[in-house]
Amino acid sequence: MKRPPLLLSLKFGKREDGHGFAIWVPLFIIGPIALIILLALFLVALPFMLLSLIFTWHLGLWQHLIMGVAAFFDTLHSLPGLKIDINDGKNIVYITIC
Amino acid sequence: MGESQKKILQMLAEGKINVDETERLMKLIDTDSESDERAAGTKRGGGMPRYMRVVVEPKPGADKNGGASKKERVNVRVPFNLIRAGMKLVSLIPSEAADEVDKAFKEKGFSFNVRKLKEEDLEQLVTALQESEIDVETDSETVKVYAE
Repeated sequence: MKRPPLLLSLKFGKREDGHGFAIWVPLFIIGPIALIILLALFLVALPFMLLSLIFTWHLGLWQHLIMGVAAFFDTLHSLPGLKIDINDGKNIVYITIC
Repeated sequence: MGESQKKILQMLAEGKINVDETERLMKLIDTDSESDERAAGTKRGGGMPRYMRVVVEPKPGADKNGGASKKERVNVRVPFNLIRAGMKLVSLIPSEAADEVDKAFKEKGFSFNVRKLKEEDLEQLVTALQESEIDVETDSETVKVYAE
């Protein structure tokens, strides 16, 4: 079952001096807010989009755009479970999405 | 989102648990739902692996031989769904870029047309990845690529 990512955890840093930063991003809070903003922007732009769609449909750009948006959301919903933990002895990169 | 996930996030928001504990609980829930799916999925040919793992670890004592440091390691887990979704993006590559990709494949000896990649081909490729297991051992490190 696919679900949107809820939490993003990032850690970057150097091992020797302990410098770096760690952050966790609460996507479950940011996601709905971003969605509402995107929806509002979409509604504002809709009349202009429909007008330009009528005149430029034959160019085939809109099909790509629609497919692109669908593919973006599909990729976004496939992200939970991704884990990247790389340590080269000096630097650390740690990314998890759950 | 399930009820359990909502509860966990609520506990995190209230400060009752920290991020590490949230991660662990989320993973446990995912594992539970995975085993449920596996139990229910016996008719579909058993539980399919969901992640592709790439693990590079130094061998014990490798540091002394001038090989990889004990601290050096790679642990990557990629969901197969992400591989599937990413490969679907291939159809969105502009023709000029696709030509460049094909050219790069040809230079490496692969006769491959990225635009002719079909949905069935993708599924076959992912299935092949799910069944594959690579285990390489050198003097200094162990490299494992497998599905789980």
